[in-house]
Formats: sequence, C-alpha cells, structure tokens
Amino acid sequence: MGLLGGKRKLGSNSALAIAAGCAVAFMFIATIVSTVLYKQRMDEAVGLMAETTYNEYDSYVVMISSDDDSTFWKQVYEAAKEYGKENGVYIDMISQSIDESYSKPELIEMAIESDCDAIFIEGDDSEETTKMLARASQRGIPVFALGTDVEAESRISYIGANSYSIASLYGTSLVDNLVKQKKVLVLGADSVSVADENAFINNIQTALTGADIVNAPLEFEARAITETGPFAIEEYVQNMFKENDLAPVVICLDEKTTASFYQAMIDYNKVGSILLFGSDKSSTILTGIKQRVIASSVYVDSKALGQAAAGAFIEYKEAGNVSDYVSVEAKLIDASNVADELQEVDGE
Amino acid sequence: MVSKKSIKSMSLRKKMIMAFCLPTILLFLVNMMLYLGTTRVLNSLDVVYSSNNALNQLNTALESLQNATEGYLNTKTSDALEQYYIREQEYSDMLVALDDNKDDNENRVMERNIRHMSQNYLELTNQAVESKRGGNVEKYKNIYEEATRTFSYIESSINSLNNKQFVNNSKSYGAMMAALQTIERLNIITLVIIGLANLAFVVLIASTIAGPLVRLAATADSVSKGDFDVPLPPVRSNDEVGVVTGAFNKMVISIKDYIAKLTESMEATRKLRENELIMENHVKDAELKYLQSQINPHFLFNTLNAGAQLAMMEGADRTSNYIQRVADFFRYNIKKNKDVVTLKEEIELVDIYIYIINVRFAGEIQFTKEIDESLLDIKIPSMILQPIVENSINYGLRNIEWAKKIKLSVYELGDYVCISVKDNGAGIEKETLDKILNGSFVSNPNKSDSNGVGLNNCIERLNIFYERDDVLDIISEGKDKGTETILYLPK
Repeated sequence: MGLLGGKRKLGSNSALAIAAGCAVAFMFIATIVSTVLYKQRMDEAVGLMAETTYNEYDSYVVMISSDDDSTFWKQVYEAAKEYGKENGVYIDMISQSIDESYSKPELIEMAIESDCDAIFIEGDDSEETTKMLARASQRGIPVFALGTDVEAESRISYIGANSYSIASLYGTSLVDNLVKQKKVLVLGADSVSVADENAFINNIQTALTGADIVNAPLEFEARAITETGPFAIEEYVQNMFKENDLAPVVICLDEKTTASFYQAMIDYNKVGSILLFGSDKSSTILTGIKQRVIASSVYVDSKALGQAAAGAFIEYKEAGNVSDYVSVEAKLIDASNVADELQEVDGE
Repeated sequence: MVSKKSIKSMSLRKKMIMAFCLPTILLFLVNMMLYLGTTRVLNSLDVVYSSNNALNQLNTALESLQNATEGYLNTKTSDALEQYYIREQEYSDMLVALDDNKDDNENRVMERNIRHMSQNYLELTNQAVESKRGGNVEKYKNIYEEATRTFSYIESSINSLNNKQFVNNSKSYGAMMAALQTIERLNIITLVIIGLANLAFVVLIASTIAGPLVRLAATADSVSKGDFDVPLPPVRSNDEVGVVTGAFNKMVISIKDYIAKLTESMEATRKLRENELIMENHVKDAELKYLQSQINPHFLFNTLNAGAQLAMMEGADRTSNYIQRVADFFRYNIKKNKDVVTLKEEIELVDIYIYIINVRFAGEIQFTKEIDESLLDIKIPSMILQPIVENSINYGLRNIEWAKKIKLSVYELGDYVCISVKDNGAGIEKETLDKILNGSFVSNPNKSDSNGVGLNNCIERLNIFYERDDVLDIISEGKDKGTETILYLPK
C-alpha cells in the first residue's frame, strides 16, 4: 500500500469496499447529526426573535398611589394585577414601567391620555389631583379610591378600611401602652392631609371615650409633612429629632414615616422615651415591633385591598354599578402577634 | 448505495472519479448547509435591534413634530404650518406600526399607551394649531401646555420602552451570538470528522485499486523467476486492472502449455536420436563380429579373387566360380556401409550364401524362391535375411536325415510385405520358441560356422527400425516339424 507507506497489505477488495462504505456512512451520519444539532441550536436562536402570543385583556386599568415604590402599594398592585388577570383586566402601575419619575397628577394625566378604562387611586386632598380627576371625569373614566378617599365626579367606589375601625385599633393600643403620657403627635406624609388627621383624631378620641387613661383627656397634635420630593420625609423626621420637636407619644400614619421615625429613634437614642405607633407593615416595621421600639402598627391587608379593588372594578364593569364603599379589614400588629407576621413576611 | 456488483463492474476511471467526487460533493453540501444557516442567524441578528431603531425613529419624529408645532405657534408662518403638517403626517404614518393591541404584557401595554397618548397628542397639537389660526390665544396656550406635557409623557414612555427592549434585545443578541459560536464549533467538528472520514474513504478506495495491481505484480515477479505453478491472482473486478489480470492469467497458462508441448517434442526427438544410436551400435556390433571373424575382409576378398583367377587359369571353372561367389559374399559385407538396402540386394546375398553352403553340403539343400517381383525395391535394414537363412540351416536342417528343403517367399499381406523363410528341419519346441521371441534365449556363442550375426541382433534391429515389437515371428509346430520365420514389413 503506497498510500499508507511500506508494503503492508490491506485485506481483500470486498473488505476494503465495506470499509469504504462504512467511511461514507460515517460521513453521512456525522452530517445528519450535525445538521440536527445545528437545526436545534438555530431554532433556539431564531425562537428568541419570534413573536410571542399573549393573552388579551378586556380592560386597562391604571393604579396610582402616593408612593408606588412602597412595599405596601407594591403588594396591593401585585394582588390587584393577579386578580385582574384572571378576569381579563390588565392593571398597570405606570410609574413602575417608566424610568422617569412623575408626580401623582402627572401620572393621572398619563393614564387619561392613554385612554385607560379606569383609574385606581390613593386619594389625597391636593388641588392638582382633584383637577386631574375632574379631567378624568370629563373623559368618562371611572375612578376607584383606594385607602384614602377622593373627591371626584366620576369616583365610583372607595375601597379601604373603615377610618373609625382604624382609629379604634390605635385607641386600643394606646390604652394598652400609655403610662402617664398626655401629648400625642399624629404625623402623616403628604398623602395624609391635616383634615384626614383631624378626622382620625376625632375618631380616636371617640374610641377612647370612657377608657381608663391616667392623664385623660389626651392632647393631640396633628402634623402633616407637606414637603414632597425625594428624601423629604426622612429629612423632616431628622429635623424633628435635631430640634427636639417631639412628643412622648407619636402616631405615624404611613409606612415611610413610621420607618423613618423608628430609625431616628434608634439613631437619637430615644428608644423608651417615646412611644411610637406605626402604620402598615414592612420587614423594617415588624423588626421595630419585635425590638419593642414600635409599640404597635395598624395595617390594612394589602392583598385584600388589591383584590377588593380589582373585584370592585370587575363588578362595576359587569353590572354597571358597584357599592360606594368596599370595606377591607384593618389589623393591629404588636408584640403578641409580630412573630407570626414576621414569618409571613419572610415566607414571601 | 451502489451495489457490490456494480462497484465491481465499475471502471478504474469511474472509481477514481467517485473517490474524488463523493467526498467533494459531501463537503460542499455540508459547507453550503452551514453557510446558509450562518446567513440565517446573521439575518436574524439584523432584526434584533430593529425594534429599537423603530422606537428611535418614532422619538425623532415626535420631537420634530413638537418642534414644528412650537415653531408654528411661535411664528405663525405658512412655512412653519407646512412643516407642521409634514411632521404631523410623518408621525401619523409611523404610529401605524404600533398596533392597538390588548396583549397582557408590560411592553405591549406600553406600546398601546404610546399609541393612545400619541393620538391624543396629535389631536391636541391640531387643536393648538387651529386655535392659533383662529386667534384664540388663551385656548392655544392651554392646549399647547397640555400637548407639551403629553409630549413629555410619550417621550419618556418611548425611552423607557426603548430601554426595556434594548435589555431584551441584548439578551437575544447574546443568545444568538452564543448560538453562532456553537454553530461555529459544530462547523469545525463536522468538517474535521468528514475530512477524516474522507481521507479514510479515499485511502480505502485507492487500496481497492492498488491491491489487485500489487498482487498482479507479485505474481508476475514469481513468473519471471520461472515459477509457472504460482497461484494466479483472481479476477474480482471488471475494471482495467481486472482486464489486465485476466490477460496475464491467460498468458501464463499459454506459456505453460507451450513449454509442456516443447518438452514433449524434445523428448520425442531425444528418443529418436537414441534409437538411431542403438541401431548404429548394433550395426557396428555386427561389423565388429565380421571383422573379428574375418580379420581383414579386404585381404580375404583380394586373396579370394586371386584364388579365383588362379583356378580359372588352371581351367578349374567350378572352383573359380565358387571362390568368386565366396568373394562376392564377403564383398557384400564390406560394401554394405549403409544401414538400409533393398530387398533385392538382401535376396541376392541369400542366393550367394545358399550357393556357398550347397557346395559345402554337396548340394543337399534344396532352396526354392517364390517372390513377388514388384516388392523387391522395398527398403529393409541390411544383414537381416542371410542370418535368418543361416539360422534355419544351422539349427533346422544340419542334422536331419531327410531331404533338406528351404523356401524363401516374398508376398503381400494386407498393409504388410511378408518375407517368409521356411524349412522342413528339426523344428523348435514351444519353450525355446518363446525364449527366442522375447530375447531371453542364449545361443552357444562358439558356433564356429556362423557369420557372427545372431538372430537376436536381427530382431532388435528390426524392432528399432520399424519401431514395433512384432516385426519378426517364428512359427514351429514342434520337433521335426520344420520352422517358418516370417518378417512383417510395413509397405
């Protein structure tokens, strides 16, 4: 064999022919295998580009809160979205999909200009909001108020906890924790107006009527943080501590204020000297309760709120009307049940 | 697949073409497939960022429209108005690409919102432009403000969507690049595998071509060294090598046959030559016997001639005649150097011998001849008849008491010329006869009155000359019943 060098003889011709056939077969198999692998990889790659088909929704609803980034409102949004999805309603929190940050009235305007089918809004008493909601009414867009009610012609329903029952929960907690304090500071961010705070104070006073309090009647002071913009609440709270503009009992009416106040108490070594009652629940607030920095927190179940809101819209869409007030239960977290709530939060 | 038979009947040229073309075609196909696939991926890559491009263009058109609106509201010139209408149309055309979907997906919802906001924006700009043309200052200002806000919403929506799609598209791009790399590796591996298999295939095909040639060369080498019994290479294919192998095999067989025939012929020639030599040897032997017995025939012959002349001078004619005949007898012996003589010459010698013997036996022997004259010219070995007649006289007639007769006959019998010498003498017994005929009889060598040429010598020479064993036959019916010696000579 010249090709192999030397005089080594290969087998008979038929054996060689069979071997040659095997070589050809091997070539074909290699080609086929590589074609199949190749095609698979190609399909995977091209599949990435393919248009996916999505389920279609019937209605488009925009949800706007005062603080879309808060855990509470995110949970409300997720619950509402999930519930809506099952019923052909797409609930969108525009602020989450847009990089730029817009104010609440701007977001309402965007929702209006996007021709949405309904607006879920956490109400406030600002003029701009009211103005924008009036435009929504002009455009015939139904508005559902969540958590805080709103004044608008097209407001269909309010979904949230009964303010009196919330006040009662705080009242109960106050009675349990007060020693001889007299001054109570009620603090809320811009979403909570002074009027709301006053209404809250009225309710709490009603709830405390006849309760066994050493220094009754208590002195309430309502204060709203009107500054908006990033870090406004944090700055406001820090200033309160710096200037010692404090009260022995503080009730914070929203999540951010509660968290800021809790942190400031630790930073300024005021734990034990100030009795803090918070709102909402987040892992920070729950930790605060666990460490006994926060006496208790009243919260509205975010999931229940979201589902109730979506349910209200669906009912409105199908029946043409829905109850003016959809109640969502408020709950109190204190040292006695914080462990269960922490477990729940960790589970999520 | 090509069947085994058709591979065998394929010519060398076709085999070589196949060995070259098949791998080439296969490699070409694989390369084409890989090339087309790669092209497909690269084309898809072009599309990856197309959505971003579309959004960028939309954004640019939106900005142009906003600028055109602002431009008109600022200047109120017809150029600016025209510019506004162009931009408005441009943006409207672009909006068609964004479908009014109801898909349950964040990006698709953003597309939908951009479309709806854009439609409202277009309406607002229209209203603003119309109000400006109508001179309603308060209204167009308000509407323009609203339009500008909507413009910012749309712009930020487009930018946000663009960013999201860019992230998604980058993922697709990364996946595609990874796929491309895999395909590239697959390419290399496949090509290497096919290349190796090709090499093996070509080597094997070359072996099927070269194998028979190598065997043929080895066989030819053996044949050239004289080994004709080497096993011939089998003809397995019908290609050129097969044809050459077949021709070579035929040639080797032909050469073998030719050599066998040549050997046979040489053997025959050698045998012939050997016979000639034996014949010559016998003649020489006979001559020697004569020479031994006669010492010098020439001297004897000359002496006898002198005696004959002397007898004639003295008037003894019979003696002279006798001596003359004796002289003739010896002359025949001397002159016959040649091996073959005519029958006539042999009979003449017998006549001379009978004359001499009858002088000796006082005319007791009655010699008769019955000869077909036409057969006298046939050729026979010399010194055959006289020894036979002499034998008849010596062993048959010499010691008998009755009239001594001897008859020489020459006649035709079928394809043979028969020469018969028949006496009425003592006869020969069966055993002796058999011994004489198979050559094992030993006569007394000291018989003084023989001319020295024995019957055995005659029989052998006859057998060699005619290449047969049955030229001479002796018939005797037993003691005192005479003997007949017959020569069967072919014509």
